[in-house]
Amino acid sequence: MKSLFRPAQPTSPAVLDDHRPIIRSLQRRGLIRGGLSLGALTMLTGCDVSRPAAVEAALRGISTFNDWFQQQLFNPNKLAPTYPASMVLKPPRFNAYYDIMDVKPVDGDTWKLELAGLIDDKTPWKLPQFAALPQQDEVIRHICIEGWDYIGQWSGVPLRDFLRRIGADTRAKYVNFQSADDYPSSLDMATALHPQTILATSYAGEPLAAPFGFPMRLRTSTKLGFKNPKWITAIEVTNTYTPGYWEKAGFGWFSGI
Amino acid sequence: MLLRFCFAGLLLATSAALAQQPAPAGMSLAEAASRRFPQPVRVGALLHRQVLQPAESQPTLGWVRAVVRQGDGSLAVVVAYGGVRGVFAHPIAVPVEAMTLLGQYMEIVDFTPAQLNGFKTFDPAGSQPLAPDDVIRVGLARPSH
Amino acid sequence: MASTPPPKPAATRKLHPVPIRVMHWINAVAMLVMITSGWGIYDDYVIISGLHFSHTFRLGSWAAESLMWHFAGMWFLVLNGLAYLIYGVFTGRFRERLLPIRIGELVQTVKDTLHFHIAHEDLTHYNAVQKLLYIVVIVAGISQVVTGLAIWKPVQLSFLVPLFGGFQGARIVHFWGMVVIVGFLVVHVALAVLVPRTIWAMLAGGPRVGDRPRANKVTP
Repeated sequence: MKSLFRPAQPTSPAVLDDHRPIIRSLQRRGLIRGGLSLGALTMLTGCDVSRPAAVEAALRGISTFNDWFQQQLFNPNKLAPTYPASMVLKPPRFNAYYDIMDVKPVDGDTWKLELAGLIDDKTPWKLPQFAALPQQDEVIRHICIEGWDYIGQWSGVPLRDFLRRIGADTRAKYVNFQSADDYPSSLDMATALHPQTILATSYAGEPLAAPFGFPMRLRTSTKLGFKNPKWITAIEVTNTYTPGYWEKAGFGWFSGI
Repeated sequence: MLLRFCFAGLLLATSAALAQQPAPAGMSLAEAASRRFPQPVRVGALLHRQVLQPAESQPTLGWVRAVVRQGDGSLAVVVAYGGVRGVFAHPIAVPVEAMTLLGQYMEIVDFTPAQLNGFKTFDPAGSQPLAPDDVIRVGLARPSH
Repeated sequence: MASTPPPKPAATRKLHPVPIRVMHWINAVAMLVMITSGWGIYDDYVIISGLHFSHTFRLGSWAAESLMWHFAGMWFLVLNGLAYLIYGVFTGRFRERLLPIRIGELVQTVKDTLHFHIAHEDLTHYNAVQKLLYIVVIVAGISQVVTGLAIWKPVQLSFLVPLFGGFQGARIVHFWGMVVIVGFLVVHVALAVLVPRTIWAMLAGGPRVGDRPRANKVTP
């Protein structure tokens, strides 16, 4: 059956012939534009307001491809190197998108972890409930996107154990985090289920100190530092992508190491 | 979008320029230090640390030589200061409240190099070095860039 | 230092065939992108205390943009570089143009250069210093890719990291690889500007040269 969206009479080829010069000129302009954006590659100055949208789109496209490529490269069974406890930096290195004096400590007594999304039991969790679960201790390297690194000793409940316990749909794509310092974060499910991804509550055998995310932060051995939200207040299991704090500013989402 | 990045970048650059967080005007060194969430750290873990200036190019000010308790009871970090890569450096005593921990480094956040140049060479007489196993508390900083 | 040059075979091909020219200019752009975006990434955690690259020379107004450029440029650099290496090995271009390097010739060229006797009448022949510089920059390029992988994927490709003495070691080698390449670039561009025919040759192909005397080269 003929589509209702098609005209009854086909368009005369003469129309195309009549407008051929215009079409050609448009195609030429496309080429010129392409040439201009290639030229822009060589404009190596920093903040260039005149940078064509084409370059921006290309960079974003490759960044998205890189996210996909890194997901293919990610081996869910590959463990990050671990180190002797003697190499642990005490205290760990502080970092946030704001200064140390602006850290707002979280009260562990009133703190609770909210659950949302594709989870069977969404009852919020309190701190002592986590202490009652089996803990995992790991001495792993923290690598910041800025280039610095240190070895830290983190312990807490493995995220995959927790997700199973609360009946999360582990076939979902993302595990999202909310935090007390308004630092949303998005993790792929494969990384959330990695054996070295933990909901850390202690560092070097002591409860986490306030500036490092007390009472709970994420520590995953296979991501750059900024993918480890501190002061976690909520976990959501979802198939909808929500960019995290730094992803909104331009860092790559996957950021695996 | 990239334009927005530019603004984000500028904002970051602006906030980063202030990231060294010296004591705000009218606040004593000790008061400011107490707001940098001082953390326990072994003196032994501080010895030989590189001391940076909280500036974008992260210049080296010196190396930690000792932590001492001075005659008035205050704690100071003895820093081999100045010279070229530690050669011809002279020790100066910097109040621990004016310093921060930045990962494996220390920073002097409350004195500029010009002020540090005016510090007199540290005289060990009348001060007591702390043992490597002693634990002191030092405030934190985030990267300055 | 051959005493009598062999009779020149019929000149049928250009000094720089089309694939070489295309790959050269792709590499030129990719290298500039990698170097200048790399400076933007470097600045967040400097390797040489006090050394900081000015915003003027950085590609990307801050680290996230520089990283975007770096992780886009890497594909062009790696794929183009791979094609260049395969081409160079399989067509015999590397063997023909970059080998052999004789120590005597190397010393003589350095001496000549110090006395400002720089011979560049013959574009088709690289002197020993040129050959060495090209080999050094190719090795530096390969090293940049390997150290780059160690920095990018220190967990998935964790076997690479100890080769450079750890994660920071890989960053330091990556930094010095950049220094070597920038050093090469300064000399390379300065010579090209001094002898503009070389630039034209890399655009149009240059003088015609004889076929490769393959029979001579495969003898053991």
